[in-house]
Amino acid sequence: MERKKSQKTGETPKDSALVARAKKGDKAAFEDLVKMYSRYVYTTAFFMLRDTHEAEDASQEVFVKVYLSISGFRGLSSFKTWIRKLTVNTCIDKLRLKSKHKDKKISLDRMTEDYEVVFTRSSHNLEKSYLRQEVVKDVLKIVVNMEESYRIPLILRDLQDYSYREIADLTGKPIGTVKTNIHRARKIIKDKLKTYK
Amino acid sequence: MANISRYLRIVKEAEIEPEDSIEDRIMDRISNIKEEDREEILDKDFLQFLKNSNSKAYHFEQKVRSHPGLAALFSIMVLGAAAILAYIAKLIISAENK
Repeated sequence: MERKKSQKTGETPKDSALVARAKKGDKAAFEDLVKMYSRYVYTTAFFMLRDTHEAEDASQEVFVKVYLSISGFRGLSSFKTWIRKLTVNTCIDKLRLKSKHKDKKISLDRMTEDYEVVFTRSSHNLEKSYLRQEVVKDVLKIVVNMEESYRIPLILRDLQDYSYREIADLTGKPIGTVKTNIHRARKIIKDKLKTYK
Repeated sequence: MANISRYLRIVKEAEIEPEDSIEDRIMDRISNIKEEDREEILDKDFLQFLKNSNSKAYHFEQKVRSHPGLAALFSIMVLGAAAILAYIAKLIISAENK
């Protein structure tokens, strides 16, 4: 299906219609938006917070804020972009509150045991290649187990498409440090994948 | 790092399946919002975020800050075009005065 020129990246006609209805107070439309985006928001929160309960709490907080403020959303960006940025901001605030606690490593084994990793837009090659799916799950495991100073910039850059400047502003770190940490994070993934083979 | 970029591109499309009924719990929480909690939920930081997301000027500023090289190039081109137009205007005026 050809995308209309007026459509923002990541926005479908269905999104636009639901957002328009939700802005007018249509709760059913808002519920549909929750169904469309809850997993996306939860995934983003989980990668940043590394805790299932906190990720769900953050997800609820995000949607509560969206519900209370959607009538004021002008749509200069797509709804998906807006909710993504809100999720990231909410998680950054939670991490700041937690910053005094020790950076605990959380085993991802329980996560992959209890929850399913779903590939939403798999290429045909990936669907066919079980081995490649396993490598991607290994990458996920490595990312989630990384320390915060590497994990957060990597997630924001490579999974959320933030610019270096935006990451520097969000994390309060100099842009040079952000770039260095992202480079190091990628190297950690590369080195650890070698040990898995 | 080419392989890592490829895997990270795929990871971007991966989602974690949360526990059952997360949507129901979200809607339950929304249904239980009290009016007195609204101010606490929509705090100063969130209101600033909402204001920024609705501001064309803010979006433009962010684009410029994220791409300073492009912004500088664009500014030079605009100034160059303005200088050329000013020179052409001067030539036309001089020709008319002769």
